Amino acid sequence: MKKVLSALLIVAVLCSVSFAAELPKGYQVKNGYNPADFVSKKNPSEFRMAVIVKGVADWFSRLEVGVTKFAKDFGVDAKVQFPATTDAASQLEIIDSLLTQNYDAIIVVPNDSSALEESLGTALAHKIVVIGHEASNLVNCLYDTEAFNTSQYGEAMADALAKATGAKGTYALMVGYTTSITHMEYAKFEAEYIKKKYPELKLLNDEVPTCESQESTTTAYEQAKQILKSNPNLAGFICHCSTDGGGIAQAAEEMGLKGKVKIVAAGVPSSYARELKDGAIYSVTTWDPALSGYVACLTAYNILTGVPVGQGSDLSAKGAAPGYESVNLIVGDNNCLIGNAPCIGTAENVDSLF
Amino acid sequence: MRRNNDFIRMLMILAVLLIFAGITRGSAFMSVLNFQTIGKQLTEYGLMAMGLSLAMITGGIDLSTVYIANLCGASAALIMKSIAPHGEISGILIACVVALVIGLVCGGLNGFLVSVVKVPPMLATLGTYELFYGITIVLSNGKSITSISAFKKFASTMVFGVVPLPFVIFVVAAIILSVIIGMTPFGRRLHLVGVNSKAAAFSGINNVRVITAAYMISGLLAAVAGLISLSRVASVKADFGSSYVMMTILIAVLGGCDPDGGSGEIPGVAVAVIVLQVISAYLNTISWINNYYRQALYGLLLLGFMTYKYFRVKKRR
Repeated sequence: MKKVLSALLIVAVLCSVSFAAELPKGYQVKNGYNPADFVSKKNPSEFRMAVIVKGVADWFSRLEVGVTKFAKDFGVDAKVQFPATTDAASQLEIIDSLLTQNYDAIIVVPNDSSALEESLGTALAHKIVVIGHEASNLVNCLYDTEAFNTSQYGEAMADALAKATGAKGTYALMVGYTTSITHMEYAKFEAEYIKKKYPELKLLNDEVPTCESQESTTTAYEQAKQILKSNPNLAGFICHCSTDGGGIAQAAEEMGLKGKVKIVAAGVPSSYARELKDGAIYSVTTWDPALSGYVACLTAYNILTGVPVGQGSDLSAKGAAPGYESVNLIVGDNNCLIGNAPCIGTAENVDSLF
Repeated sequence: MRRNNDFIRMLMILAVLLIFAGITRGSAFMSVLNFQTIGKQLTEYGLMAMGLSLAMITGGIDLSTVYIANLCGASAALIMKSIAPHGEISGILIACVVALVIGLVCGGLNGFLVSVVKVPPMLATLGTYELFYGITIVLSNGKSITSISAFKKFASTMVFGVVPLPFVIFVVAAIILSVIIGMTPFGRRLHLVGVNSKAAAFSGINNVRVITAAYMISGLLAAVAGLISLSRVASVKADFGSSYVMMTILIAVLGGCDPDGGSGEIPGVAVAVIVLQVISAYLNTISWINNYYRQALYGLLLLGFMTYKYFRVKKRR
């Protein structure tokens, strides 16, 4: 048996030696593609676009509404692909498969950007338009599209928390994953902003984030329960993943803290209508993912048809996507197109929102 | 003879699948690029599935493979970054060797827990799964670690210009393991331990050594998978590939391994790997099929196959 094992080890080592020695020059992932090179010769009605979202959630079903509307409005084939699991490997597999299927544009809401860079780089090299959403750190894309910038959103969340708690007490911050760049940017901004503007509102243990929900209601519930158990006087809870609010609200309710701990959540307001109305959740700050899906598709469409996209571009499609009449371009690793379309759901207005 | 049945059955399923896919999807499926993608995608969980099969043949299971792979990948990435930032071959080699050794050690720990401490394999490897996962989180601070750019090219290399290198590694590993499990005394002992560990012990087999070796090979394969993943994805994260755990179990069972131990051969498992990735790639070509159905389909496949086997075995008895 020893012989077998050592033989195996030797083979493995030999293999890695020969691989390493033959590293080919070949293809190099580059950034800085020019969108003008991505104009398609195809008739727009033949465009195929795929939108890859993070996983199963009301949020992405709402995003699908926008994509479907876009497909109808512009007469293109645009569909949302839902990964079977929230494992980054699932998104990667979908994208790798899309690369074999003659798509013209890939729009992605990444779970873990760095896991997708390599494949999206290949997509760009094959002149497939890549647009990111909720992915301000994604390098291999032509544009990232966002509903608003971190400070607009962070301020809205922080102000809602201050209003709910009377700007006093301790609060906790929950993010989806600590690797989720946007969630962490929001959380860090909110902590800083609150420290400056509402000094009597203190972050639990002064640590960003307090916990991660792993994009799961169950985990959000378990985490919130632990935190509330050890901090029953917690004044508020900010969470960023669309499925967190329900978990935290359930934990608070079971511990008899319903309405006492003010939950400032993100998500689809209508899915929290009951919680908003009975006070279990104070507010649901959001942007409309349907508009995001619409605008991301339109960005890809404009690039494919040769319509310039950049600072001041109107991506509202004549009122189809209000808030995107004049987007801001932030040039960086990733060129970020930012609209101004925040949306706050409360007990009063939830019935009129999506 | 039974061992070959699984292999031949899986080959037939594969052939039927390919013909079906070819007829229904035509050139959208039957393209070189699509097969290259399939070949690249299956390697990581394919290697892990074969490792898990060895554990299953001894009557155990190895749930920790994905996390061994990530631990090895993360360690290798960190070592490469510190000693080979510009792609020095020697540094890359050292990182790979260290990763493989870590894989062996992790597998050894699994084997020790199962064979010496006698923790039920499912609990033992579930425990080490959490342990390895946790260590990787600590190593990486919970973030993704990117690969140095020189190492990225390893997985995108095409042997003879058409066959992805990861797939070649998969095939080579499958052949080596098939020989070891199918033709050597060690392979026979592995099966005997799985059939009846007490009887095996009385007939002079050192169960501890056999079981530990099985888990160590599984750990080594996971380490190779981790390195390939690091190269292909160009990054590694503690929870990357968590959905592969279920896949590897499904593959091992489809490939003919008996979850109770004692039977199972590598060729069947290797073809099952390809079958599963072909199904997955086929589903990916149909944009109107929701990916949620995939999980349900996998669950049905597993349950259906187990039921089929149960009735077949009962009939024989």
